[in-house]
Amino acid sequence: MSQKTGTSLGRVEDAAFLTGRARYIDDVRHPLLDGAAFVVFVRSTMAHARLVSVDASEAKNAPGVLDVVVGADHVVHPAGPTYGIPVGHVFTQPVLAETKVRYVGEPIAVVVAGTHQQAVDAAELVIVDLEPLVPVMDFDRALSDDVLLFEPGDAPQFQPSAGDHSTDGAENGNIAFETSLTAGDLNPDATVVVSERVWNPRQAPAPMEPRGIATAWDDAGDLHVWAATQRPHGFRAQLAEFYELPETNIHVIAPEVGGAFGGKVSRSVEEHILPALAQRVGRPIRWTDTRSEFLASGTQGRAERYDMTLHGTPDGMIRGIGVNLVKDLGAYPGVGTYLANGYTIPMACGTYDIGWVDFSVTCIVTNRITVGAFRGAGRAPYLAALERIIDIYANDIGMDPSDVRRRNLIQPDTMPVTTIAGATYDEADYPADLERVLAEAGYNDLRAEQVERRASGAAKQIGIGMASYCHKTAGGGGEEAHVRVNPDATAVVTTGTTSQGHSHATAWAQIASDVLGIDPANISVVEGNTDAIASGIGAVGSRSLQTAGLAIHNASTTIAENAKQLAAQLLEANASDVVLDTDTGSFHVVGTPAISVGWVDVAAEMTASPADTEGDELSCGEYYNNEGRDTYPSGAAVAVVEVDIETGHVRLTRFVSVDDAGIRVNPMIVDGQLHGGIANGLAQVFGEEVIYDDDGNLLTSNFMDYAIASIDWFPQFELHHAATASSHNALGFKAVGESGVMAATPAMHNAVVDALSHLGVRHIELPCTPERVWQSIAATVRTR
Amino acid sequence: MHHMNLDVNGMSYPITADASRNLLSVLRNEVGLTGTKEGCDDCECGACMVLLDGQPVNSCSYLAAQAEGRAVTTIEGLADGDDLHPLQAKMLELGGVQCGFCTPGMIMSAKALLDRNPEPSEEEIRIGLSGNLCRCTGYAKILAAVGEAAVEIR
Repeated sequence: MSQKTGTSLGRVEDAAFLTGRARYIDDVRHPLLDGAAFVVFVRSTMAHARLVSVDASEAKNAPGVLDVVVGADHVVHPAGPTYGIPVGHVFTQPVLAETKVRYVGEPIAVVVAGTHQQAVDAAELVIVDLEPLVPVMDFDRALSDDVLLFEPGDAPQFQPSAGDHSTDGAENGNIAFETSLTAGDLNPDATVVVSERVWNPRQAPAPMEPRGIATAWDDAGDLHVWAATQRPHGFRAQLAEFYELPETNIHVIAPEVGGAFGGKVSRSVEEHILPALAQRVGRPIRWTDTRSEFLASGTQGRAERYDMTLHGTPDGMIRGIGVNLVKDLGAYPGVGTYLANGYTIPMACGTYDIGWVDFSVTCIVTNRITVGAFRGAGRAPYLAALERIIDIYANDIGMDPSDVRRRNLIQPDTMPVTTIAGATYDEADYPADLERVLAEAGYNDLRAEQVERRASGAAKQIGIGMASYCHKTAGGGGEEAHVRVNPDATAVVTTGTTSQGHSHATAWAQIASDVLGIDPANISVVEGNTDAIASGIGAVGSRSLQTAGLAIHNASTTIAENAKQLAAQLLEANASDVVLDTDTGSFHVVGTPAISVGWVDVAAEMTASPADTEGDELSCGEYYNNEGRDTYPSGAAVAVVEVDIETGHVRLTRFVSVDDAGIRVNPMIVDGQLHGGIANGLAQVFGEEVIYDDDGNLLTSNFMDYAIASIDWFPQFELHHAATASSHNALGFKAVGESGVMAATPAMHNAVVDALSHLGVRHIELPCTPERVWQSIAATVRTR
Repeated sequence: MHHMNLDVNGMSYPITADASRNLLSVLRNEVGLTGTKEGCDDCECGACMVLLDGQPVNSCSYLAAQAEGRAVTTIEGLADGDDLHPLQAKMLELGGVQCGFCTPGMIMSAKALLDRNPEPSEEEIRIGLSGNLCRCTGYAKILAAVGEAAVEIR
């Protein structure tokens, strides 16, 4: 059996998915969940209003209704922003609205009934009296503080005992959090100053499976939760805090999860209240939100406005970047608040050698859904703005955008390198990736074709865009893994991270297989179960491979060493002379492979000699901590578009990329992750955008109105790979989950503007819908 | 309550359910076949796609009672024992599955396509699957898998 790392094995988990046997949250059947009741939330129909009264008396008497709960019932502590996020206490979202509502869809009451239909019907009978306030939707209006979402004393009265309650946080009006970084020196030869405002519109994570939870209390008082979550251990920790229970009395299971993309981090009020409801009615509870409910009440991402200023020389040397970022947190600051310091500012230099950075971030509240994470969170929007301003600079100084990038990319011989923004990039070759993608795309021919097309005056003009990227992954911390080899020579790998389409079962089996010499088909992976392993962070921020992957490798290595000791007893040799042949999974003395023993023999030897041994040499737990040695997957992309200047319609004709994900465990899986990320990034240019009207009504509340990519949007992607080993971990791993997004948005965005640059178009806001493109062309015609 | 016999994957199931129940809900909760998924309940995502007499139908928006007397095929009816259907086998071989939630509906749409058009062009595959949304894969490997499965079936 040859080396498995680097091999495109078919996924070991796929048979269940392909035959309908995979169990997602709505498919979970368990005796504890028999007789489950159902809940429906009564939600705000106004974006900003004073909550005058809630009358649930009629609903409580409706058929099948078991309970109706309102904010004043204070059934469970809220998950405030004080939990690891540095914003004032006043911004805490009550579990159910108490005095005000601040977004359309905010939960006001919840109905528990015997059937889902009974709960739906009863929810209609809850009478909510709202007194409208002026909605704050515009960024500048929010910054002006003429209408405040939170006034002093607005914090929910019912608070958990933990956390810092000393600051209210309302003194800064609608600004919940500010941060900045100024570093380096601005070379005085930077006489060219280019500025542009670049928006990165709101997106919804929108996994194909909505959120869902099933929960029950057992006779011993333990809490059982099945949840479509990215973070079973983190969710357990929150529940322990809010329900004041030891973590050991809470059991969280994530069954198969149908995608997440940052949308299932389990910090929502809906998820937190369900165990309390189960306790109140003495029955298990199930809740799955509808698609519209998910789009109108789950977290969203992006929502960032960049005022970019590039300082450069007339001959294309970028000397400094000024950034003024205003980030919309939505009504109640959440995980999105953490991104500015944790992910955005560290990316200030992108892939470029830049001597001066002046970066300020202002996080505001508006009457929209909370901004949490979405694939590429905190990095993709900034990189999109940076790559856009570089193209504008190139255009202004009359230099080809590829030449500007060539002149400024960080050189490989300096790496690892710490930028002035404080990030330490691991090994990569950004210039080589750019040259390769330009060559693969046939860049010079494309430019020649563009010149011809322009000269012909054709309605369909072509545009060529490019982008370079690297991005911070892992984000510190670690993961735990446990590996066990069974007496029948099968193995089990257990980790605290989770998979929502990430193919962990296959990748983890490949990593363990390379050390143990056991076929991946005989290695099973257990994840998403807080009872199976003590700790876990989960699949967030492209981090599982460089943390759990190392833990699995290290635990497997320990077992292999222990097994050599046991094999040495059987072979009557010194352990130091015994080798494990990972091709065959057998142990022999160096130089005499003909006489060997296998895992079955070794396991039997372990159980046969308990006096000499602990009896668990073939089982090992490891915690791997990366100690802040983050990895930065990187690459470059070229997009080619055809824009109809008479209609504004944009067609993507090619997308070519070179991506460096570090050492690839399974190239097929890597390609799949890249494809999905690229589709996410391109969709933001085509038309994917969460839209609210001026009154705060969500206009994109279903898949007819919220445009995620369908199968006819893209040509076949042309992927190429670099595979530079990272020195930031022993196996050279980087990451790939979010990489596809990074260059896709700016490369295509640059291409659309490039197609029209000869007409005088300098910038077009995302998404580049036909109407917006056409308006941009029309505006230049008017000014000519 | 309405009494009906549903023919699902060649088996007859006597069902008693409210006449307003949709086929998706009855398949999942009464027949007990949970492979068919609900992604939107609004005919927008295709996760609930099943075949009715070979034609693809969004089961979320089709009354169970209307399916009486017709042959319903779900994802559970595709494999022959442990032998995967070529569509399933190619999805596995080429990496067309990630989170798997759209997969059953995607495969049922592809089956309907290949049954009526054994030699689809790439464009025809795109049209045939345009009613099925996937957020994970960017569709690239699904396109490839359906194309190769068509060749294999021929």
